[in-house]
Amino acid sequence: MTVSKISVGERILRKYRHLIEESGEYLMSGNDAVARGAIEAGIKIATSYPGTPASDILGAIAAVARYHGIYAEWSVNEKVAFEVAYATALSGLRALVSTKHLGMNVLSDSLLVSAYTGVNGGLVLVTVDDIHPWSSQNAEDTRYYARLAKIPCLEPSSPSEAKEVVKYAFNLSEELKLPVIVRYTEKIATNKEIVKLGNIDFEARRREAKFYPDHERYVMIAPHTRKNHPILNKKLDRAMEIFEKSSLNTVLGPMYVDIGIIVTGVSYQHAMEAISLLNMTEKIRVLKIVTSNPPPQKLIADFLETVNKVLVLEEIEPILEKDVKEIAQSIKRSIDIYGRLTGYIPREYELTPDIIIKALKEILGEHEENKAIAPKDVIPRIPSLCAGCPHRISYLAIKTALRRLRKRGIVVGDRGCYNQGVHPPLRAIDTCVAMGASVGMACGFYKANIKEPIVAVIGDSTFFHAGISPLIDAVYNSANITVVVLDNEVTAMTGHQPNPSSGRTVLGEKSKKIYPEKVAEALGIEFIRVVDTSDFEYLVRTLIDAIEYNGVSVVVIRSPCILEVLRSGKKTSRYEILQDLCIKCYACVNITGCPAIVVDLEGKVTIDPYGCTGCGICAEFCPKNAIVKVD
Amino acid sequence: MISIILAGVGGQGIILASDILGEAARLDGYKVSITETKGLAQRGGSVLSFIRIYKNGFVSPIIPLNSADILIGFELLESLRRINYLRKDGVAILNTRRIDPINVKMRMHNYPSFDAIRREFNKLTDKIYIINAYEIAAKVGSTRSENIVLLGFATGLSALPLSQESIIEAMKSRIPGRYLEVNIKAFQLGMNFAKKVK
Repeated sequence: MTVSKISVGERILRKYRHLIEESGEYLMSGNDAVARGAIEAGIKIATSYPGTPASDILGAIAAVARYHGIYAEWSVNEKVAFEVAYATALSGLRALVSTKHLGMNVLSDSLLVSAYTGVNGGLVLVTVDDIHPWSSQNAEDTRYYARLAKIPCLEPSSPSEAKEVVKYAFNLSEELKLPVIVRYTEKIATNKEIVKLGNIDFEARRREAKFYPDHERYVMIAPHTRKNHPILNKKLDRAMEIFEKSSLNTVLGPMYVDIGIIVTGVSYQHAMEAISLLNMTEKIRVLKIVTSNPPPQKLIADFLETVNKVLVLEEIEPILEKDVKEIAQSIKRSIDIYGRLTGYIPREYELTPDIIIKALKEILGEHEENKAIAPKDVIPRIPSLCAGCPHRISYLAIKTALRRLRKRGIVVGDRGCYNQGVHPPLRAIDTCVAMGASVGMACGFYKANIKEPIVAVIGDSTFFHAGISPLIDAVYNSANITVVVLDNEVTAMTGHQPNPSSGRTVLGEKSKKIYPEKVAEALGIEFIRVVDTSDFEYLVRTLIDAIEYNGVSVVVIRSPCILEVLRSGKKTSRYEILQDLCIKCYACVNITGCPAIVVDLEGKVTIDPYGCTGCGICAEFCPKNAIVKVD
Repeated sequence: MISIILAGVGGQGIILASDILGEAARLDGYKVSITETKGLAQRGGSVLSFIRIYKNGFVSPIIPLNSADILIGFELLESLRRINYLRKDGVAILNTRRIDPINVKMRMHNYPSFDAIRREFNKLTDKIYIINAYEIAAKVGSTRSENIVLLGFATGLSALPLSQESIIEAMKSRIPGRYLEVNIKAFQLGMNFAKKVK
């Protein structure tokens, strides 16, 4: 059995050839390579919830899922994604869950117990840690979760290695009967290199799902947990034994030199280039650790015997560095350990070859010559919501409503494109913390007795992900808040993935469209309005009514993401500025911040005909009515 | 090893341009490493791509400071922002395109003048090549091919270690059929412009 009978379209073939072909070499990102690795491992199910920089793992698998006979889904949140994959693995099949680091927080509740039951089919949890961060609200290190959950964690150092590590992780998961984490950082997710395709494990994919009830193993009540705990600990001991001999961990460079480097993840590539730039290939010994939990103690101890100083490179917390310290003490080896704990490596942000070069020079007692830094006065490029984005109109309506009520208000934000509303000129949200936190925090501001209108704004995907429970809390505990659901019917921020509001699945199937207003209705909320952004004045008045309402009010603003509208090929209108009426007050720029409005060197204001999508919000704020619709 | 940096703004086609260069390098028998920092690309933010074309050894996904051989600046402000990656006497290809961010339109900040930007590059290198790729792309009726004009220009300057044939082959594998012809035209116009400059 080799190829599927299902043919794929030209677009899929152009974009995902590396996931379809049986052999060859392709330019692939780390995320592509992980998707390929999971397909080669014979997965039957892949699940995820979108989150940059991990989203395209499931996006890629889903694009070729039919061809390979794999089931893929965007789950409603990471916890459900994990549970779907976990039950698949209990049934003897191989399953992949992928997430960004923040998703680990959401799924950890189930993950930490799943370690006690273990799995049957391979269960691999891929997490991409955005540790700089480039597009996240914190910079956490998933390796702590691996230790907390007592499950193995593997850290590949490149896209090619990531593909092999994923396959290895599935075998390891079945050998140990434990979920296995494959953890890497943003630089591997986005780095592309030439990766060689391998064979697909059709045997694993052909397995039939079977679940054999075993109450002591699968029903985690305390007596069963107590019984399973030593089994879990033994599995972890076994993992350590395997890792001590694993060929994934490698040693490079001459023995008995002054300086050694112990490194995990992408830092390995930075370190190797740094060593070569410093012409120190013959002077530094390097231990690359892929099996980071449990750390191979003997391997590290043996390495420490061959060097006098050791620089530990990892992203981003000094986890391995502390292990190395502990191991050095246990073997009574007095050795200088350099890393994030000693100030040789900065405590925050991702590593670069330059940081490693500087650290090595400092260890050698040399001074680093000053590198050219970017001219200090380079102005920032502040991002903005797209031209025609319905969120811009919603935010301006909320601001206008509060102004007419002569209140400042607190606008509690959430996670999604709409957190770009924090930038000038909108400055429309006051907080942004975690998925769904807008509603829970709105309750908190009310209970704390803040004497201002409290408005939570939350997107459709975020509402389904984690916004419903706090809305129940708001009703149950009688909060007086307004919840505005910015429903653009897609998970836009992370690349337009479908969600329960879209009415379709990632596999292109029609699904039941779920309406936030019906959820609100079922909770007994009495003030519910559903509006769109086409009539600004009506929108403002609706929001005023909602804010003035005493109790929980819900306003669903349902307008599609403008990028989706443009992609669908729908013709949009456009606006222009009548120059003889324009008084150059710049209200259109300074209030809306729309990127389609252009100010030339002489200060003349025009609307870019290719950028304008005809939302008309600028016209609402023109005091001279100089902005008119043209077609 | 050749290290190339592409700097610009979301929507200018930097990711496609990087993929084309990477694929062309693969076809020419090189190893490749490409790393894009997209961040908020879709929302008009800064986009940066590191491309490393090499035969053997180790390369980091991140180009060390002061060591890129070529900087292709798709937008002036972004070119200036990444100048610290360019090595001394490296090749600077500067597109005169200017995309004002909202902070410039709101007069929170002044956009640096072309002369000021050029002066910064002059301190580092004499190999500065200037092109209005947006205008040239408009000539083929597709301002979205600005990225391909820039690739043609860099190829015409012999700045890249890649063959013209491989780049065209790479374009065929990455660009949908219906847009291919216009992009090949854009590539050739970029090449022709390089001959005028050289």
